[in-house]
Amino acid sequence: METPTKPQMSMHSPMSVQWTPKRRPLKILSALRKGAKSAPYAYNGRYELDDTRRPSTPPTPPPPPSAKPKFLKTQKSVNVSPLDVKSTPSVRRNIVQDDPMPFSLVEMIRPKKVKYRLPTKQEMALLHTTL
Amino acid sequence: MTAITFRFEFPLLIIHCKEPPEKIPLTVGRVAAIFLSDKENYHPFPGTVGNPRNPDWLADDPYDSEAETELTFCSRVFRACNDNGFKPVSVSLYLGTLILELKEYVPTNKFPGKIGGVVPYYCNGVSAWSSRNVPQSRLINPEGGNEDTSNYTSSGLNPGVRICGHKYAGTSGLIVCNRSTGERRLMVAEHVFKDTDEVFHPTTKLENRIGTITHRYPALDVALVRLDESVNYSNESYFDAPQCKRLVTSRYEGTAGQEWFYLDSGYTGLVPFLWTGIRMELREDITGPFHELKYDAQYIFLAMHINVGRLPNGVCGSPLVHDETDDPVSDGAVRGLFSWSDQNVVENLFVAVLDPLVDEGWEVESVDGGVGSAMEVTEGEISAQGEQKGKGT
Repeated sequence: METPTKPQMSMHSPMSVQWTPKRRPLKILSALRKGAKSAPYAYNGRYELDDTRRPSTPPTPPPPPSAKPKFLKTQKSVNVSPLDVKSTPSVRRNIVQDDPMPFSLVEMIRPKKVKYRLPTKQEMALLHTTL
Repeated sequence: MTAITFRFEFPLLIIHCKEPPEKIPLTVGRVAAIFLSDKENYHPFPGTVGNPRNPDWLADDPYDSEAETELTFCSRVFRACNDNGFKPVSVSLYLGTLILELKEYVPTNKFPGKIGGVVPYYCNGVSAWSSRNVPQSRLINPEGGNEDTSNYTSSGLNPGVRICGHKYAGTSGLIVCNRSTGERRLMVAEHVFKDTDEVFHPTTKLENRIGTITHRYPALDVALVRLDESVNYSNESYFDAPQCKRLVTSRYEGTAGQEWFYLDSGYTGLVPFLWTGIRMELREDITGPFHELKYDAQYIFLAMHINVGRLPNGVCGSPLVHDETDDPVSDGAVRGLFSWSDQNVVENLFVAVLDPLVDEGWEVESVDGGVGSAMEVTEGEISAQGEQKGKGT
């Protein structure tokens, strides 16, 4: 049996279908959401608590919502409450939309081949100003 | 403004800061970024270069990424190294760089500056990766309470829930079906259950038993569990991580340094990983029929924990699933289960390539009860698989 090869890379392009996942109790913070606060070099380890960001967890977590999946075809075609929007997976948002730079240092992506470039003077200045 | 230096070591951008930014992004300018303190030292590529005056062992047959897979090339380098009297331990293509790990020290000027046209880095007599194949098992009574021990039985189980044996605990994997035999099984990390065949969720109590291990693949660190008939388990949700849709083999063509994978375990929540390449490693136990050398093929991922926090041990068994994308081959692609880490400053994760499992006919069960790689099987086969769902074959 053969795994099909990839015809073309299309990373980070918009999705037509989104998925509403099962939720964990609030105490299980996503490492992504914890972000800089848990960076080991800065705060000496991942267990650094930050009570201001999330409420504490009750001893008995509430039961998770129904396991039935909820498909959101697109945000245009379906009425989505703000709560639903908030709870849809945001993995791509974490990668692309949280990128602080408006430019890309990746010039070209093909399977197994990527071309990078160095930033221009202006982009370098922006890096220094932003970070 | 806290950044002091920017090092462009594509496909990575290494940023040294006096103070970490309030929110650390995974990418800067669309390139994976590693944020470090001004005192932290980090070189992504281990080893030193060889002597460019020495002839290339594979000059007649250089690496051609269009014509061969990375694993095939690494196998050729392994053999060439052996044939030239050196003792390789592992050969990796890591972030586009060839890395050779050798058992004994040999002066690097004896090695070629290129192999197959690629510049190698030699780790001669020293480990390229801090520790080799050290599976991390979490004891059942861990310190600290920051983990999800919820019992999800009533709403149905899914990848990412806490599972345990008698001694260790880990994270549950995904449901696979065998297209030849019709068996339906749960994938878990084998080393978590090395002391028992019984699998429990979320804690070890008789009434929490969910299944029994029927197949073990120690070289892949994968075990397959026959679920008890009363257990409702599906691949419908993987908490905040993308849904698992298919297993991929070494023939999957990706772009190291550009593809993001995720896991979501009860010990961590959602965690990102950057796929960085592949490794071909000599298995430590080489005794066996015909005394042939045996190799293990693995994917390497860069844990972004330097940005998001160090990973706890109970994460073992979590499926590593590709980021959401419109590419039908990559979307929901599972490269394997979290198992081995080198425990380095910037941690590298090693995941067994699942070719042997896929070759036996195991495929991801889709949420509608069929198999994940629907494009590879006939409609009749999908229907037959669907009937097996929930029967605990």
